[in-house]
Order: sequence, then structure tokens, then C-alpha cells
Amino acid sequence: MIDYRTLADYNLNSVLKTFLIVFCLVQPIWAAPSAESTFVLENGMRVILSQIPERQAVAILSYYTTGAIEDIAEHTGFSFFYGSMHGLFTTENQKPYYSFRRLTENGGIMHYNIAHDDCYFLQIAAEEELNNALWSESENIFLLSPSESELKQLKDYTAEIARQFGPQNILYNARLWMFNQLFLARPGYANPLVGNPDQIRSWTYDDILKQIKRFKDPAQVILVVTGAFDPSQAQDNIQKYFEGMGTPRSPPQSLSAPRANQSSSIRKRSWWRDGLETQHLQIGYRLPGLITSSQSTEADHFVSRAIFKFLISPGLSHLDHMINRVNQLQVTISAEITENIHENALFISFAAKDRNSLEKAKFILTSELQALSNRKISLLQMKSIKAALKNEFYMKMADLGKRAIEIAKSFHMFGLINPTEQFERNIQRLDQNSIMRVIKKYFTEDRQVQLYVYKKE
Amino acid sequence: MYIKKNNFITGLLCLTTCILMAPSPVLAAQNKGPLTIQLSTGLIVSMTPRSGWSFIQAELIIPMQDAEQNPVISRLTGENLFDRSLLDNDTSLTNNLIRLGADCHVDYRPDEIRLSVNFPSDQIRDFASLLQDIFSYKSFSLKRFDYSRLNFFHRFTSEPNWIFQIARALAYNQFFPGHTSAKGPIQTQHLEQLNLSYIRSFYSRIFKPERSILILNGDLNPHTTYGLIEMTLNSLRKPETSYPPRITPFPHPKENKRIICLEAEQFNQLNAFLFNVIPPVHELEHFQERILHTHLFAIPHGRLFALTGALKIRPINFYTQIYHHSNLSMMSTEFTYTQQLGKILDLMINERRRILQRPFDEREYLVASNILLGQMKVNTASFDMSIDQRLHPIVSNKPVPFLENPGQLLRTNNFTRTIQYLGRKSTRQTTYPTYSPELIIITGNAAILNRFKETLNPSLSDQIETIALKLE
Repeated sequence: MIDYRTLADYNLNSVLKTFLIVFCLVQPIWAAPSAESTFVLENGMRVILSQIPERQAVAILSYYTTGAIEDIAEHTGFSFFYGSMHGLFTTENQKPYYSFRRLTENGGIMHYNIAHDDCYFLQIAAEEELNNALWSESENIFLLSPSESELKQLKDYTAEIARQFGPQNILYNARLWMFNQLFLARPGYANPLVGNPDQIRSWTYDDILKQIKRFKDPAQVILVVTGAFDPSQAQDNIQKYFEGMGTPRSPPQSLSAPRANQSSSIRKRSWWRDGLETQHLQIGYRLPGLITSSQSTEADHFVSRAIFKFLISPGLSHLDHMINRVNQLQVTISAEITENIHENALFISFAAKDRNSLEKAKFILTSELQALSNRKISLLQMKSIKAALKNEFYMKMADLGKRAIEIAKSFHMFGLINPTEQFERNIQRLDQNSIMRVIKKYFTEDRQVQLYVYKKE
Repeated sequence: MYIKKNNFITGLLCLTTCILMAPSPVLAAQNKGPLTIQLSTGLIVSMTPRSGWSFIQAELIIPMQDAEQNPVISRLTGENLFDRSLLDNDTSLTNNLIRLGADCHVDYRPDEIRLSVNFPSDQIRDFASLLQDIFSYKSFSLKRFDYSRLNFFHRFTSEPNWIFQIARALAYNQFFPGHTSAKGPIQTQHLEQLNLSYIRSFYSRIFKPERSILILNGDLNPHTTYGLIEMTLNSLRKPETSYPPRITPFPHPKENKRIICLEAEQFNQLNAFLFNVIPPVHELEHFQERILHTHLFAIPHGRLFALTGALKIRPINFYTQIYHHSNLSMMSTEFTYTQQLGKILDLMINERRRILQRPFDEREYLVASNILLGQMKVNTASFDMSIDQRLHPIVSNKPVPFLENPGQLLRTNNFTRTIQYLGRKSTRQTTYPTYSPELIIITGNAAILNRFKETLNPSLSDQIETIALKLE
């Protein structure tokens, strides 16, 4: 006999109990895959947690949204100096700081980088060392107060580095001159990162302590933790070590202001210098920033990087193929593309024994760019560019340290904690037409600067 | 009946919950370890799925054969195949490499050629075509060969680690005379001995799927990847005879010279390398050696760092690499940023000797073990974890428990066992009686080496042998 009852008649209590037990058993597996989460501490510091359980290590990145562009005139190179303060531990005869000793005692590594728009400090430690690493990171950000003698040693160290990039380094100065002509909207991007050796030596102890305050503002720090860790425990420890720390700073003293007259650039110049073994030609193109007023221009920088990959990157190296193999020249090609927020440049450098080869290389570059602006690149070339960009990006995302940097940059610039979304959108939009369009728009004579650096006969 | 109905609904709810909450079968598959399969062409493929990756890291290992003793031939053959800068027109092989993003590197080791390629996971089909091209290459040309030979040293000396490669070749040559890896450093006369027919013949003997091993790591489904590669390589000729083992074990290393100065005009700075042969990675003794190495070379906790600080002969830095083989490992330590190399070498030799006579204390053991264990864990942060480690279980047919689970090392090893190992080593009673040799190789041109020799302790300078190389 069938017992007809409505649902309300069933023993819902036992059904729900079973459901809850099963849910609790299954839920941790469901929650395990790497998911990013974010929260903001009361002092304004932003935190991103990205869990990758299968690793046995964890990366802790403090990403500062301030960089060398904010160095005031008398303290050019201070950001680099501050960065070296974290790296001080490895300089000669410098007694290692406890945090560094602690990290290396457990097999950990440390790395830092200073750029114009941002800077970061990265620790990679064994998973069980997360708590110690967070503690020492908090100390480094908020409580760093080196002694006068330590700062003197550091001044000597950074002044020596700045001296190596001084007037005698012809090609470094040529590059700076090029950037001065190329960065018109934000001339601060042309400032040398390392500063001037005499100026560094003249900084007083009080000056330095005052400048350090700029880096103690928690609102400009994005803390990224990625790797194997328990998110709730990590969150508790972050609150414990970072909450209530730091002092908000006053507005930046010298944000590099846009130049009034943006068309005053010199387009071509020649230098004759002693001490060179080969002749050099540097060609630069002015490119849009990573963040611009329109979405279409933002994507243009991504396309410019695709063009850079196609022309220069090892393996694809279309330019090398055309110059050295097809035309049988012997020209050394090097290049870089900047990754600034407001304004960028693609910078190609040719070196050869004779001037004639430089002229030929320039002609080939101009002709290739002309051809690329008028006809579509082949499907094979397009596929290879996309593959090269994907390899580069996905490999970064598979490496804990590089992944943390990508996440922080993406969050800072676009408010996205998952940089893959933005990358995949850009890669989908990238096609033969967008390459033609960007070459036509940016690789033009009025956006180009040339500098010949000849060997003095 | 009531109970039956209640059970039915509870079961249904449970089932629905499991379906909704449980990870997908694909994810489940991704958590499994490596799958190793031999294809019908004889190629061994080992695949490790990695969740969260959107690319595949591939490494094709092509071991050398005993008969071949010209050290240039493997590099020149590889360059004629893979180096696009030598080609007028792209071949099907280079086109496939370009299609994959051209993110490739070839390491010409003394005992094998290793091709590493990274590519987006949706291009596995292009990678399979690349493999087919590698094993059925027919596009050798005299023009390209002549060009590759003409510019050989220019390309070789442009590589960032070319001096290390020369030192490494010499170390294998000194430790394992007669073995396939003992060809010695590349020199001009080796290049002069070669012509295109040698290259063709070398290619047809060595580049065979039945002699090669492929390691794939990343966003892949082992079953479909296996099927795809099997299908693509199916057109290749199947091996008719049974081949000798792909990887021949190394003989016991010879210990005759302590310090060799390698002199060549092109070495315009002083470099120093320490090479040691240590037990294989599947043995506990391998890690005991590495604990000892960490105790000496770690920065800033190592003994040498402390001593060089006390003697004010810094700056100093060390860069260590380990090459795992089936029955031993080769460890190399490069001295970088050293200005007072003579004094530092003297110090290092004395310390290595001293530690066998008066081993370190328990505290020092704990510090060194902790650093090593931490480093092994920190290495998992990088995607590029040593392929050597993953290859080892395949070639030696032995698991590497301490690499898979570094924590087990501290549970298995302890201070007493390490001291016992050092005791056996000092009295040459280890399981591996001859796995203790070390060789120091110093590179520089004549003037640099003469200046260096003047700074050396006389007891050391007596042990030096100088070998001159011609590289142009």
C-alpha cells in the first residue's frame, strides 16, 4: 500500500541533516580550486589572496603604487635607493638584517624591482613560513628605520651604481636622451631610475627619513599572497600584522606634470663619441599608455607589444631575419618596449661596424613597417604572434612570483584581480587588421625619434 | 513504505549534492601523477597534467651514442635543424616551431640533446607535427651547413653560458674517460673534421623515436595527447631491431687531477667552477652530500660566506646546478663576483677537507638541512621545476621520494646518519666508494691566468694543469 503524503509530512529534519552532512563533506573539495579573493584593511591597504594548493611554497608581494616618477627633483633616484634598502642585506660587509636571514634560513628568496610608476618587493618562502614572511614584510614596510651608518653605506653603494650609469656610459645616456624626446606627455618617465651620484651623497639623514615616509602609506600598498596557504588563517595573520600600521601621506609633492608643448621633440640627432667599438643607431616610437581615456587606445598598447614580439623577440625575430639573413648584413639588433601607465615607447637599437649597414638596416625597418601597414601579415605569422604572447603570459601565471606581480598590476591598473580575463579579451581582439591599424597610427615619422651615435674617428 | 520513500528522497538529494559539488572528472584526472607510455614507434612519453596551466612545457631528450666522439657534431646537427637564423627559407620544422610561438631552447649536453618547447595547450596538434618533422627531417642543405660552420663560434660564444658549457664538457671528459659524455670541449679542429654527410649520418643514427624520451607537463589530457602523438607519428618507420638502452649508466668516475686551467683567447675574464660527482637522486646519500654542500656554500648562512667576511675577501656568490643521471649526479658550483679567487679557492679546498676530518655540529646540520628543505619547497613556486628530476624515475626506474615529498627527508635523515655518511666517505667506505672526486676548472686567457696563478698558494699551484683551447 502506498502511503500518499505531502512533502511536509516527511521527516524533513533527517533529510536536511543528511544533506548538510554530505554538503560539509563535499564542500571543501568544491572550494579548493584556486580562487582569488580580496579585502581592504582599515588603514586602506588592499590585500589579494590567490590560493594554489598544489605548490609547497608561497609568494608574498608588496606592490607600491608609487615609483620613480614621484621622486622630487632634489631626490631623483630615491625610489631606487629605497629599493636597495631592502636589498641592502646582500651588499658587501653589510650585516644581514634579521628578516633576510630568517627568509634565507628556510630556503626562501627575495627580489625587488623599481619602475617609474610602481615598485615591488617579493618574497618566496616555503608554505609553513607564511606567517614569518608576513610579519617581516610588515616590519619592512612600516618599521624600517636604518641607522645613520647603515644609510651612509647604502648611499655609497647606490652612488656607485649611479656612477656606473654616469656620463661615461654613452649608450645609457643615448637611451635617456631618446626617452626625453619620446616621453612628451609625462617627461618624468625619462628620469634616470638610479639618480645622480653626487646628489645621492649629499642627502642628509633627516632628508632620507622624510622621504621614506612616502613609502609607509598603507593606502598605496597592494599586498598579494599566492601559493599554498589556508585563506582564513592568512587573512587573520594579515590583519594581525598590517592592521593599524602606517601613516597616510600627504598628496604627492611632484607628480610629473604633462608638458605644455607636446610637439617640441627633436626627431633626429647625431653624436660623435670616443670609446665606442661600433656605430650605433637608436630609433624610438611613441606609443600610448597602458591606461588611456578610451578603451580602444588601451588595447593599442597590447597590439604594439604583439608587433614588438613579431619584430624582435628571439625565435620570431622578423627584423633580424630580414636584415641579417635576407640582406646579409651584420647588424646587432636590440630593443625594448616600456610598460608605463600614461605613455610608452618602443625603442630599437642597431649596432654595426660601418655606418652604411646602419643606414641599410634603417631602410629595411622603414620598408617593413610600411609594408606591414599596407598588407596583412600571414595567418602563420598571426598564429605565431598569438602563441608567443600566450606562452609569455601563461608561463608568468604558472610561476608564483610572476603571477603575484601580474595580479597586483592588473588590480592597480584595471581593478581586476584575475589578469587572465583582460589578457584573453585582448588576445581575442588581436588580428591582422588591428596590427595594420596600429602600425599606421603609431609607427609614423612624426612619432619617431632617431639618434646616431658614431665612433669618433 | 514511509521509510523507503524517505530514503529515496534522501538518496536523491545526496546524489544531486555530489553531482553539484564534486569536482569534474577532468579536474580529478588533473590531480593524478605522471603517466608514462611507450608509443608504437618506440618513443617514451611521460605526461603530467597540471591544473591551472594554459600551456604545455615539453622536453624532448635525445641521448647520444658511444660511437660518436666529435663534440661539435651534435650542436651543428641541432642548429641545422632548429636554428631559424641559418635558414633562407623556413622548413616545415621551423614553420611548426614558429606556429607554436618559437619559445624553444636546445641544450647540447655532453651525453644528450635536450629540446625544450613551451606552447599554448590548444596547439598540441602543431606540436605533434613538430615531433614528426624532427624524426623525419630531410631538408639538410649544403648552403645552410656551410653557413652554420662558418659562423659556428660566433653563435656559440654569443650564448650566455658558453664558458660554463666548455667547463662542463671538460669535467665529464676528465671524470668519465671512454664514456659517451667524455667528448671534451669544442675546439676548432673538431669543426674542421665535419662535412654535411657526417651530419646526415649522425642525424639518421641519433634522431630516432625509439632512442628518445618526451616529457610533457601542463594543461593536457594524457589519454587524448597520447592518442594524438601516436596517430601523428604512426607514419614513421617502426623500429626493426631491439635497440640498446637509451641511457647508458656512467662508469665510476676517475680521480686524477684537482685543478685545471682552461686557456683560450676568447676567455676575457676569470671564471671558476667546482664539479663534484655525487650519489644519484634516489639515494639518501645524495641529500647528505647536498646538506654538506649547503653548509659550505649557502649565502648568508654558509661557512664560506662567514669566513670570507672575516677575512674581508668578499664580494662572493655561488651558483649551483645539478645534473641527474641514472646512477649518479653531477653538481657544479660557479663562483661569481669573486675578486680574490685564489684565496677563496684555497679556503674552499681546506674547508672541504676539514669537514671530513671534523664534521659539523648538530646545530650546523639543522641549519643546513632546513635551508635545503626550504629551497626544495621554494623551487615548486616556479613552473620550470627541473625536468631532470621528473626524468630520473624513467631512466633509472626508481622513484625519487625525497624530491616528491621533501618533508620526508627530515624524517628519514638525521644528524647521526649524516655524520656516519661523512665518516664512511672520509675512509672511502661509502656505497659509492669513488663518488667523491671533485675538479676545479678555471677559465681565462693567458694574461688573466698568469695573474691568477701568481696569487695562488704554492701548494695549490703545483697541482694545476693548463689546457689551451683554440676557438675561432
